[in-house]
Amino acid sequence: MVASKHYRVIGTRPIRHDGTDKVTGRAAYGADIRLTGMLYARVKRSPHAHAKIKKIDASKALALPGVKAVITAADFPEIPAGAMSFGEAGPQPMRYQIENYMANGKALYRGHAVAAVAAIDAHIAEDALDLIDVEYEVLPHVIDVREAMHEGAPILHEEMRTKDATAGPEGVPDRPTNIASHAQFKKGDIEKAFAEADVVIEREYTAQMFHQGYIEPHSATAYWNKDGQLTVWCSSQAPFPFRNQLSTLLKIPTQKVTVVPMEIGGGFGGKLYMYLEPLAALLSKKTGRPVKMTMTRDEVFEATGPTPGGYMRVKFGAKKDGTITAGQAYLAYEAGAFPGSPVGGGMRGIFAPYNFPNVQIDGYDVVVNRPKTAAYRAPGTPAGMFAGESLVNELARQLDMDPMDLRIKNAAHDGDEMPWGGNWGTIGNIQVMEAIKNHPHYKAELQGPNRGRGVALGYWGNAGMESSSSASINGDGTINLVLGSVDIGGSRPALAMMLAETVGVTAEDIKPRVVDTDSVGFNMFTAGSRTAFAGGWAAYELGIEIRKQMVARAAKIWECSVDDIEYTDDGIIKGPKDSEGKDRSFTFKELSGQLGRTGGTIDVSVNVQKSSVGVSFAGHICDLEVDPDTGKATVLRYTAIQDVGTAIHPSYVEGQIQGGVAQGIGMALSEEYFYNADGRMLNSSYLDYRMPTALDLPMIETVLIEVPNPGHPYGVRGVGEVPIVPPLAAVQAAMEEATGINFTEVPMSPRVVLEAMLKDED
Amino acid sequence: MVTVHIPAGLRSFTGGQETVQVEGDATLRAIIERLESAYPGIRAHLVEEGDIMTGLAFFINDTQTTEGLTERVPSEASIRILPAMAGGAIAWRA
Repeated sequence: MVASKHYRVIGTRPIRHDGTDKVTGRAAYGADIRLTGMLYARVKRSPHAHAKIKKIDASKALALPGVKAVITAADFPEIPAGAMSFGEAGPQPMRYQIENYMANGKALYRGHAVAAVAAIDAHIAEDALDLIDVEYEVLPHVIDVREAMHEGAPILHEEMRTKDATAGPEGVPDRPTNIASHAQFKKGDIEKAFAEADVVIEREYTAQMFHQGYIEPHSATAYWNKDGQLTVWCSSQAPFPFRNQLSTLLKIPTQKVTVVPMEIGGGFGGKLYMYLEPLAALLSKKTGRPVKMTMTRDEVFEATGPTPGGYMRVKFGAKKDGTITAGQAYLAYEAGAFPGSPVGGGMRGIFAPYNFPNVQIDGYDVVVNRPKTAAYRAPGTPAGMFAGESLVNELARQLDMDPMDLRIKNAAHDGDEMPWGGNWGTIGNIQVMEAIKNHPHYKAELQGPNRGRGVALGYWGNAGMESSSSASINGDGTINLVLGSVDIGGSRPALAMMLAETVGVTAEDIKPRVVDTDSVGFNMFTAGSRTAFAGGWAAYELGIEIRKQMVARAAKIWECSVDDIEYTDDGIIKGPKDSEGKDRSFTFKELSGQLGRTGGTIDVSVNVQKSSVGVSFAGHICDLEVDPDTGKATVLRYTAIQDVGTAIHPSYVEGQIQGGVAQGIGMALSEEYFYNADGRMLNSSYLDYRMPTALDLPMIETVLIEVPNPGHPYGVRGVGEVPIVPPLAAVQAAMEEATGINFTEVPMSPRVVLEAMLKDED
Repeated sequence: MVTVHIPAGLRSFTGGQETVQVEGDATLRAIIERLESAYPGIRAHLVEEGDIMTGLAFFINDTQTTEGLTERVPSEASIRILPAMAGGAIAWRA
C-alpha cells in the first residue's frame, strides 16, 4: 500500500463490529423474520416472454383450504400521475414501475409476476399457484438488442417514443419503438480527426447479461396493521427510497410506512429495487395479517434485474507515434422489459482514462423481453470498457507499442477535459498506469505454451448524495453511532473509524448501528460507492460537533472561555492552568463521565449532501493459460491496482477489490444467461449459471494507491465498484496472447474459445 | 454574465453553439427561463414538474448543484449540464 498520510485510527484494521454475529450465524437476514399469525405468499409468474393477459381466474385457488388472499394488478391503487426517473432513460411513465411488480394486461418477460397468493403455509401457497387460471395470447418476442432496434421488431410498449435530445426542435418520429432513449457526448470534430489519422481501427463487441449473484434471495415481510401503519422488513440496499416508493405507490402518508432493513446477504446493486415488498404489503392489507415472501433461486434469476447485455462498436483514429486523436463509440444496451439500462455508465467509462481531443459517444437504451435490468457494481461500465480497453490493446499491437506506454501517452491528467465535458479534478489515473508499468508482475517473464498476459483499465465516477446520522456519548466515553445506510461492504467499521479519528477515541469505542427509517433522517441508498464518502462526511461532522460541545462542557467546569481550551487529536481536552498554576486536562472518557452533571448527554445529529466526490481509476494485470483441448481458461496470476483515495480500513478495501475482480472474471470467462427459442432462461441455478468460486481463482494481489480526494476531510473515494471493470478486457488481452484469437464477446466461455480455436485451425 | 455549456444533444436549440451567455446573479430557475427566452424549446429538456429533469445534473463552477432550481448562480459563473450518473438506479427522494 502506498500511504498518503498517517492517521491514528484510519488505515488500521480493527475487527468489524458486526463480525461476531455474522460468523456465528446470529445475524438476522431478510428471511429470518417471523411474526405471530404470519402468512406465506408466492408469486405466479408468466411462462411466456411476451403475451397478452386475457383473463385471470383465481376462484379455484381461493377455494383451496388455507388460502387467504390472491392479488393481481387490479389490486394496486390507481396509478399515480406523472413520471419517475428510470436511470439513464430519464423520466418515464410511473406505471412502468408498478407493472414490473405485477403485469397489467401484458406479460413482458418470462417470470413476470401476474398474481400472488397468501396462505397459512408456503406449500399451500405454492399449490394454489397452479389453481390460478391465466389465459394468455402469446405474442412474438425479442430478446436481442439489435433485433429489438430493427423496424418491424415486436414492440413491447405501444406508447413508447425515443427520448432523444439530439433530435432537436423537430423531435423524434411519432411511431412505436423499443428504443427508450438516445444520449450523446460529443467534443471536437470526429470526422476530420478520422480523415487525418494515420491509423483507423474499428471493432464490434458484444456482452451478455450477468447477474449479481448475491447469495441471499430477495425476501420481504409486510404487516399493514389496523390503524394503517405499514411495516416492511426486507433485504434492501435502499430502505428510505423503498419507504418513499411504498408511500407514493400505495397512497399512504410517509410517516405511516416503516422499512426495517435486515442484514443483507449481498446486493451489488441488485437490491436497490422492490419486487416483493408492494405485493406483501397489499396481501397484508387484504388479510390483516403479516405476510412473508421469499424468492427461490429460479425467481431471482428470472424475475430480478441483472446487468444488461449489449452491443458495442468502437473506433479509434491515431498517429503512428501512438497519439490517439479520435475516439468514437456506439453503445446499445438491453434495458429489459422497461426502460432504464445503465448505458450512461458505459458512456462515461469507455474513454475516461484518456484525453482524446475528438470524441463522440452515442448510447441507446433499448427494451427487450427480458427482466428489467438493475444496477450491478459500476453499472454499465464493464461492458463499455470491455469494448474500449480491448480496442486500446488491439491498437497497441497494431502500432507495435507496449500497451501501457500507449495508455500513458494518451492519459488524462488533473485538469484535462473529461469526455463528457467539464474538467477532471485531482485524479489517480496516471499514478495507476505508472504503477502497472512498474509492477513486478508486469515486468515478470511469462513462460509456457497457451499462456497470455493482458492489462486493462477501469473507471467509475462514484456518488455523493444525502446521508443523515446521529451520535450520543455514553458516560464511559463510548459513543453510539446511528446509521441509516445499510452495511453491504464494511461501512459500519469504516464510518465508526472516521468518527473515532475525529474525536480521538478508538474504533472499538464506537458502536455503529443501522436503524429503520423511523429512527434517523433520510439516507439515500447504499450504492454508487457513496456510503464511505457521504457517511464518512457525516461521521466527520458529528465528530466536529462533539468536539465543540465537549469543549463547551469543559469550559463550564473550569469556568473559562472555550477559546482557552485545546482539543487534541488524541482526544485530550486541555484547559488553562488552575489558580495554583497546575495543568488541567480531561481525557475524552473522563469528561464523558461528567456530562450528566454539566447539562446532560451530548447527542448530535447531522445531514450532509456533498457533491465533492472523488472518482476512481483502476488497472489490472492478468495471466492465464488456455487448455487447447477444452477451451477452458485458468487464471494463473492476477494483480489489481487502484487509486483508493484513503484506505480507511485497508482489509475491507482489499476485500472489495478482490470481490470485484472475481465477479469481473466471471463475466469474462463463465457467466451467461442461456435462453431458448421461447425466451426461457435454461440455466437459472448456481449449478448452471457458473460464477467463479475460490477454487477457480488464484490469490488476487492488490495494490492500494492513495491519491486523497480533496473534497473529503479524510480523502475518501468510493472503492467498491471500479474493480469489476478492468477484468473483462484484461482477460480478453491475455486470451488473445494465449490463443492468437481476437475475441470480441464476453463471456469467453470454454465453448466460445474452443469453437474459435477449432475454426482458427481450419 | 453566466456562461452555459450546452450539451451536444441540445445544441440544435442554440444553432450549434457550444456555449451561450445569459445574465447571472439569479437562481438556476431564472437562468433557465433566460435560456428559454433566447432559445425557445430548450427548457422542456432541462426541467420537469418544477424541478431539474431527472437524468440531468447541473454543475455550477464545476460543483454539482444540491439545491435544485433554487441554487444561486453567481454573476460570472459557468454552468455545465451533464447526464446524471444514475447507474440504472431509480432515485426516490421526495
